[in-house]
Amino acid sequence: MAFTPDERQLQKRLFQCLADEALKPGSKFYEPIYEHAGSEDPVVLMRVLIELTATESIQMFSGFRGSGKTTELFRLKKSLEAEGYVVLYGDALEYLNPAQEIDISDLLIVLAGTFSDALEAEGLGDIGRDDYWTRLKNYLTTTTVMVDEADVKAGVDLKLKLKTTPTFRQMLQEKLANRIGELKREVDRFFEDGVKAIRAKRGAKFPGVVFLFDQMEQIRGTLSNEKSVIDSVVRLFSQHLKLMEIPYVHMVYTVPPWLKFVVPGLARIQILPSVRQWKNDAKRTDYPAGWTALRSLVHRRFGDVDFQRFFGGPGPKHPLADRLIAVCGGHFRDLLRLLREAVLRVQTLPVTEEIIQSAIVAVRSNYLPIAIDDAKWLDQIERVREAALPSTGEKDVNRLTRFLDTHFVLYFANGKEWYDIHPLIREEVAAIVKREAANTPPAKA
Amino acid sequence: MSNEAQLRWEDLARRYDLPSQPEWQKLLTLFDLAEGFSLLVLLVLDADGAALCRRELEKHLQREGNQLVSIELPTPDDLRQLPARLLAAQPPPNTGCLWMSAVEPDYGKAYPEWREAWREALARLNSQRNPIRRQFDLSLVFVGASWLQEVMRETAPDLWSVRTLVVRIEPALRPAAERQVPEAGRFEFTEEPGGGDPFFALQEAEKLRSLPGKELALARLLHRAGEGFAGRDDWRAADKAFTEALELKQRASAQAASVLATLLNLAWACQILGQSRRSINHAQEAVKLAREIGDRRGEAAALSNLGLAYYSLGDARKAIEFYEQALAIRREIGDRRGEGITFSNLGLAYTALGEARKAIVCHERALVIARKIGNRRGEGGALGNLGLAYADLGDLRKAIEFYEQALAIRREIGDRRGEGNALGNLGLAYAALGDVRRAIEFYEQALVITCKTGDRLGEGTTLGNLGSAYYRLGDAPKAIKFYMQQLAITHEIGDRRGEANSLWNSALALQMLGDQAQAIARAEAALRNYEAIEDPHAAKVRAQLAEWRKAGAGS
Repeated sequence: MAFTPDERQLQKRLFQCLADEALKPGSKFYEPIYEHAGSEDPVVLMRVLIELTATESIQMFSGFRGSGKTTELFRLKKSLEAEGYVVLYGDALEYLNPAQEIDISDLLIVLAGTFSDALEAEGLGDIGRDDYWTRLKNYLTTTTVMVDEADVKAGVDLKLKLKTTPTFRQMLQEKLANRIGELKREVDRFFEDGVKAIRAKRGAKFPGVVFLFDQMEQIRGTLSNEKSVIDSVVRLFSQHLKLMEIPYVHMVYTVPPWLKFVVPGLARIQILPSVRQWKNDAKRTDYPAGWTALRSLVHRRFGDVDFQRFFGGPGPKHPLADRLIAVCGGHFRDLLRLLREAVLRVQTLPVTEEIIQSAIVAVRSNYLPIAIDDAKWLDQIERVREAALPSTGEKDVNRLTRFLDTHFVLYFANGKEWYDIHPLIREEVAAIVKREAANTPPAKA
Repeated sequence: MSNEAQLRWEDLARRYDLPSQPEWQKLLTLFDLAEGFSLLVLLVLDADGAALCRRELEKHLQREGNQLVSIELPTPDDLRQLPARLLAAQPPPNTGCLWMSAVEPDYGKAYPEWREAWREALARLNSQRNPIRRQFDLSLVFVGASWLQEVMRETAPDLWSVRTLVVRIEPALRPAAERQVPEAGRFEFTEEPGGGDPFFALQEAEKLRSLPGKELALARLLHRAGEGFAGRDDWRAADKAFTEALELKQRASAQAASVLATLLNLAWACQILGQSRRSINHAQEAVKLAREIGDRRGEAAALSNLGLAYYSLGDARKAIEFYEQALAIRREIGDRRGEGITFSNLGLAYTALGEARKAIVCHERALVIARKIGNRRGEGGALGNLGLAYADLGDLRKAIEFYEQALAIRREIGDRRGEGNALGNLGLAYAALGDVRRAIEFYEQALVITCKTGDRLGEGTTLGNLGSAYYRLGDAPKAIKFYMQQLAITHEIGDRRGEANSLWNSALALQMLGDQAQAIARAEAALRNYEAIEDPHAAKVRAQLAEWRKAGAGS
């Protein structure tokens, strides 16, 4: 049956409400899914740590793909600003090429440059002095007399060159290698000047400056250089963490979640967990607060009236909506995908059980096929509810990271960290393992 | 456009029948609803499929004044350059879709090279996820063979994480023999079909033919021979034996219960032979007789058989009415085994109506009953039927799981015929998943069993499915070879539906080879068979035949 124009409009409205993009503070779609009772809210933890630490600190924030890192960073920004902090935001990928190795000299330069641009963007840059790019140019061309002035111009050209000209970056890395201390002092001085300027504008009473340096976790190289790029990131955090602390500034770096496996001694990384829909017990008993949060997310996206029209009953609790929520694994991106599939398939309103089921089947098929070896590891994770990482070797860590990034494995934190596998793949994993066990001849005595 | 090219497009359009495909409709709906950036992964069988999708999508976009812009990727090297080309692309403002297609099936010669090229391109694109999202305010469509999903998930997890939709498009005009074999609850005998030697029974019967007063004994032997033939899938011979037995029993005023047993079995033979109307007549007669003598169990069996005959004629609603009457009786008399069978039948009818959830509930009930009464054969059947229901729902992985459980039980209890069924259904599920090579492995195993057990019906179906698998691999000559083997068997055992299917499928394969005249001849023969048995498939074949004739006249 064809939709009426009004129903078509409803379908369009719903589809657009389910767009998958980072939400800005104040968005009507924002659902505080990490704020419910019984869940560790990494944003609150970071805010408390910042508030408790005088003047400066270093925070590491992480999350797997689709966990809403950027949205949550904006929430942190908003809550700190409400406390009077000056919070600046920088996107690492504006300045760094994620496909190339990173060095501490690159990072320091980019940190200062990003901070400089953020000051400018927030209207705090007009402080009667050069921006960082000009200072850097001067430093590179006059102070150290290493670089031909014709090669670097301040501002956009220098930024662009850093990002797009690997040979230029390499040349800087080589020439600055023995001058890291000097470069760090330069960078620190710039930050210090920046904070002074903010104080001059805001008065002495504001509690502090926070700099959110986002997207650093994206630095991972490509097929041909993945190993060397990842090694460079590991080197950065394991050897140069001290240099990444910036005076008078609370630094928040978004980092790749796998760092926790390969640099275990690193300061605590706040990782966004999956929303907990079940308890860590054998039967996976429902955890009501997680369900409430996800039901509220769906209801908020659809709106009260459209929810009723689409599902055929009032929300936020409705059996058909619950069927989709039950298999999203506590990942809002997967939940949005399930909802989109249902909205695109619906032909009559309200949606039928068959459409809901076919939406689930469609999203599940995104996870298939599962390799036998993967299934065996996933089965173990499901049984022990731990990462069950065989070693911290590169191969195993990469595999686990891939599981977490693709949501085959879910990460939970509620006082204790634990893992489980995605509800959409549980049966498939069990079936593969069972089949393999049946096909494996018993070991000879 | 040349005539030849036009014909090719028309043929492709018929093969895929995109407007009838829910997945395609989903894709078009997305283009109607989406605003801004979206990332689509379109998985197709081969380059032809991609070309057709592109052409149809272009038409769809043009209606809204938009256009499809393609980044052409004719070689693996071009594909490797995709990241740079994509980021440098500046599509015109009315671009509705940026199309990037490189489709090489996993059985293609150049598959390894294309796979590596996709891996390289996607790995580079992965690091550009955010710039891509910022740069494009339109839909990006990555088009590849089914293996592209896995490659993208593994090598470009960032990009994969922001996918809007994954769409799978396969030809709609699939070989008709790709039917699934219901595992249980098909037709009911008042007693299990005998496994005796029908020729011996006939030999003994011959001795009584000329003896007066021995009509009932003769009828009993003929009935037994009929059962023996049924057990060997020789349905014409079974029909002949049951018909003669019935006439003798009626003439000699045999006990009603005995007449009822032959009526039910005869109805079954007619059903297999594609003579549903005759089957209904016998089943109705059986219902009447059972009511006259108060045989509640027989009445339920007859009602159930009547339901199945209507089900075969495509009237699933009427079938459900009869099944429900049967179910009520079986509950009343506490016939748990019969109740389980009726649930299986109800499940199959709901599947035909597209009510998969109801079907699953029915099969689950059948399973519970079978387990409760320790009916292992019934348990295997219910599991197999659950597999069919999930396959119908598109949940092939779950279907496979059930088929595997059914297979295990069949092997455990030594039910070789059931084992062949389960293997055949596993093959169908893997074929539907696109893993045609694995499907062939299962079909080959099933074929060995059907040959060994003398399951001619199963052998014919399996040969047809093998043909269809090779058809999907593009190997039309091999497909035709299997279809012809299937035709010989179906003709021999009098399976008219199977005969029609093999003729129709070989028509499709001949069409693939460009042999239009032969294709039309086979399709006409198939149509005659479908019409004779009132198969709902006849309408589709008729329409297709008309188009082929028209195209033939045009050229």
